[in-house]
Amino acid sequence: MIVAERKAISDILQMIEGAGRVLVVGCGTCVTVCLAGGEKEVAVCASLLRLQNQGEDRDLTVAEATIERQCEWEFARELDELVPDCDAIVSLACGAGVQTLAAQFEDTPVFPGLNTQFIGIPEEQGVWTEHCLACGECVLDKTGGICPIARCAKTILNGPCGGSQDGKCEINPETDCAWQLIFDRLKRLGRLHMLEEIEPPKNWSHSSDGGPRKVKREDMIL
Amino acid sequence: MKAQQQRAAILCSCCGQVDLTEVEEALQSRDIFCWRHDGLCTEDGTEFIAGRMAGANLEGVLICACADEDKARLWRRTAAAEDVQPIMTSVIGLRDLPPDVRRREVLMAAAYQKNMLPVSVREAVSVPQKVLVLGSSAAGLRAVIDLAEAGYDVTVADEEELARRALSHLPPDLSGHNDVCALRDRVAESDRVCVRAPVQVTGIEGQVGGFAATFAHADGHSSADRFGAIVLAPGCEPVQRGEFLGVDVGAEVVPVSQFDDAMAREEGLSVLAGVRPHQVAFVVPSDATDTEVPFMSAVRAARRTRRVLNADVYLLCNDAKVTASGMERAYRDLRDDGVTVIRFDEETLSLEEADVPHTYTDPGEMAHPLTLRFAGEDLDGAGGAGSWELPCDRVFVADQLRLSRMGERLADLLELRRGADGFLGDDNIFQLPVDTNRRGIFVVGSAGRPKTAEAGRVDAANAVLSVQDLLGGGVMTVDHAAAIVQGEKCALCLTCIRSCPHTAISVDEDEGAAVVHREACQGCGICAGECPADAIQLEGYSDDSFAAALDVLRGVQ
Amino acid sequence: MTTGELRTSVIAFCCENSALQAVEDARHFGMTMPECVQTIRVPCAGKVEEDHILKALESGAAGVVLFACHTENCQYLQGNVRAEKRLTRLRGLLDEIGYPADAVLYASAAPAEAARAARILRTFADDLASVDREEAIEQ
Repeated sequence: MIVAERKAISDILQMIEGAGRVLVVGCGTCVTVCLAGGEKEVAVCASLLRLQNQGEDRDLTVAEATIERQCEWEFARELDELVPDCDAIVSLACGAGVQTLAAQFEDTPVFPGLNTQFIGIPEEQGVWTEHCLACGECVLDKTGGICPIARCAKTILNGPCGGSQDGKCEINPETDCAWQLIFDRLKRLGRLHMLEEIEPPKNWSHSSDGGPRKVKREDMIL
Repeated sequence: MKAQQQRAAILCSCCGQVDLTEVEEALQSRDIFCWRHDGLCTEDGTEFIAGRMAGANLEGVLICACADEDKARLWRRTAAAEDVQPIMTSVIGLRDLPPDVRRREVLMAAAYQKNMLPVSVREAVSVPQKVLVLGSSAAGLRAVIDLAEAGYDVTVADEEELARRALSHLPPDLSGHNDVCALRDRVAESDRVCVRAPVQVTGIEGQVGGFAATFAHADGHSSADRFGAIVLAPGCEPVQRGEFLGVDVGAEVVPVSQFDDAMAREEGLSVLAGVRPHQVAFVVPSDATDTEVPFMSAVRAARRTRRVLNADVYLLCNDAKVTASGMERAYRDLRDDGVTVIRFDEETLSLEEADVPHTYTDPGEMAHPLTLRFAGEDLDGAGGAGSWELPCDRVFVADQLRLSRMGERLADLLELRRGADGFLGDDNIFQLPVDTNRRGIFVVGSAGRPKTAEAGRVDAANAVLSVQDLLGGGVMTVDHAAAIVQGEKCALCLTCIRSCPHTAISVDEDEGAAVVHREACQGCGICAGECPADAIQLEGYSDDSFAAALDVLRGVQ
Repeated sequence: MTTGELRTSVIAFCCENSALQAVEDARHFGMTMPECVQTIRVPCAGKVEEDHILKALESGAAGVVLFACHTENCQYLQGNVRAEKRLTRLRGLLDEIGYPADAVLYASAAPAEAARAARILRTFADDLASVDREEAIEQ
């Protein structure tokens, strides 16, 4: 899933400066699951904005809404009736959700309430770790199902660097060395010989280096 | 649904001490009918409540009177006889409130009550009168027999042969081998008991009243059965010591459990490698003093060594505990038998092994291969305090105990909460004596925390009472208080499932949402507190109830 | 959206297994209790959601107490632990918006500790009142 983290309320307050009517919009998918932008976080964020305003002179009203997926037009349109009544939207969604709302509601400023972090998994309840960089050309078949691109601090594709110490990364000793994990896993699977294969350099044009990407499935285009 | 249901209030003036005028007006303005009484706390009061409610076809009732929990429960039952759900009977004490707070309090209770979710009906569910006992520690075998005698069909399953672990790690006050053997024989003879051992428990699905267990047998076939309740009795086991103070554990440095083991197998003191030591030390390190059990084992073994071998026996302990039952007497017996008890400072303890391999020739010329050095104090005062240098032929080390491997596997399988020391028992008083975090799963004997055989027997008796309480005569009452997941809002984030302390929530694949199992839900609402989608409501305390109460506080009519 | 009347009121979410009994007893035994305290019965402190506490503040409550069971004494094992963690986060959030974090308090009491419950509520109400006074003086 996409993992995000809330922005500091002070940042949000700065963005909505001058707006009298604010709509806080949550997303019911990834960011609900990573506890950053679901209905409850929307309620908390909205309450905090209202509370902060109590000491101020200006008049602020804050409305709340949470839709199934902010990155879909159809769901974004559920806000059609609410948006004309507000001066600003705070979107508690990933960057895709924020942009969907911005495109959908051309005349209303849409501000991000979250910092989108990465594609990852909950390591345990309340702790998420990065697992995929969306590089566009998956190499997990060759690396025992452990991604060196996302999980090696240096994105090294040909084995550990000299900083791998006792299975840990030199950049952050709390992080496992991805290449140690890859080695251990391939050894367990009896596939260590795979590491001896000579691989051509990775084609990074499938990643964001090739410009904004697009995926098409011709048969599904109506 | 009954048509035109109304709510009513029964107000107690407490012999005129409480001025009810304002309260009554406020309630009536919300279409709540009021009855007055002067002393509901009297016996007549309960009759009054019953009389007024009879046939009134009420949806909810507010009883404003001083009441302790018992009285409140009695009134709820009285109201329940007239089909008012227990959570729709609110009991509020007004007498001790400042007069201006009374009105607010009663209005809040009314608003709160009005917004409670439709309550699911308390149900009686038929449940199998079958109990699964996992593990065959002494306490487990006792539970098997007691449960069978109480009329339950009992299945006892163990990963090893029945009672094997119990026989190799005897608790100190069990008279021994014979007791466990006798229990095992009784279990084998009982026609109400099905023995599955050795067997692997491969899965236990479901909740109390309907646990579905699957077993993989040694011969490769598998089987399955359903049980109303589960009793865990996998026991504890000693942590293997590879070395002690730098000396390898082996012929000369021996864990006390091996001494016990050898004695139990009637090999006698041959554990001492066929020689007759003159000087023996029993050491109880601090990692073994968490409970009385390892300590008492060492005490028992020390006395036995002293009596049988007539050797000089020293018992080294960190802390002379006398709090546990029988401990003080054990000390006295120990000293009467001539064992020297020394309180030592663990920091200073060192053990040295002679460099030259020693040879035993004649017992009288026996070399002492080991030397213990420590600062300590002879508790009898004979040797006094100071530095000790104690040459020994054998050093026995008290064991550190841990939950058995089978217990660990069961804890994982059943998602049980474990105490800080890894045992299945918890320090939380609400789990004493035999409860776990899951309804219908009980733990007896040393799997909960190392304990004496007598304490294990008490556990077994308590487990039987708990099972009877739960399964009754084949009918289990499923309580009404439960969390309700609004499926369309659930994002299946698993937060509730992970945070439910009672393992009462799972994924409903068909619905694509989390589902709370009413039979296991204890109504705490932690799931609702955690749900990021606000998709869980609690029957007795919904978001709407809270909002309505807040409205009253704000003075919004 | 709110009336100003409640500026001095304290809302105490009380676990029905412990603190609620203590607070009720404190009243019953005639202990000195701040009159502005309004209790709300909850099945467990672990049920109380952050947005409920914030809504209470929004509604004009001067302070909110989350009254739970003592450590290791929660009937539901984890409720008080969850509640305390949630409240710690909430205080951080209030701090971020410059709202006095001391307006919310996590506290614990056993059912028999009427005096303790009363003392906690008294101290809390007094502290809130003194903050109010300081603010008034500043203005």
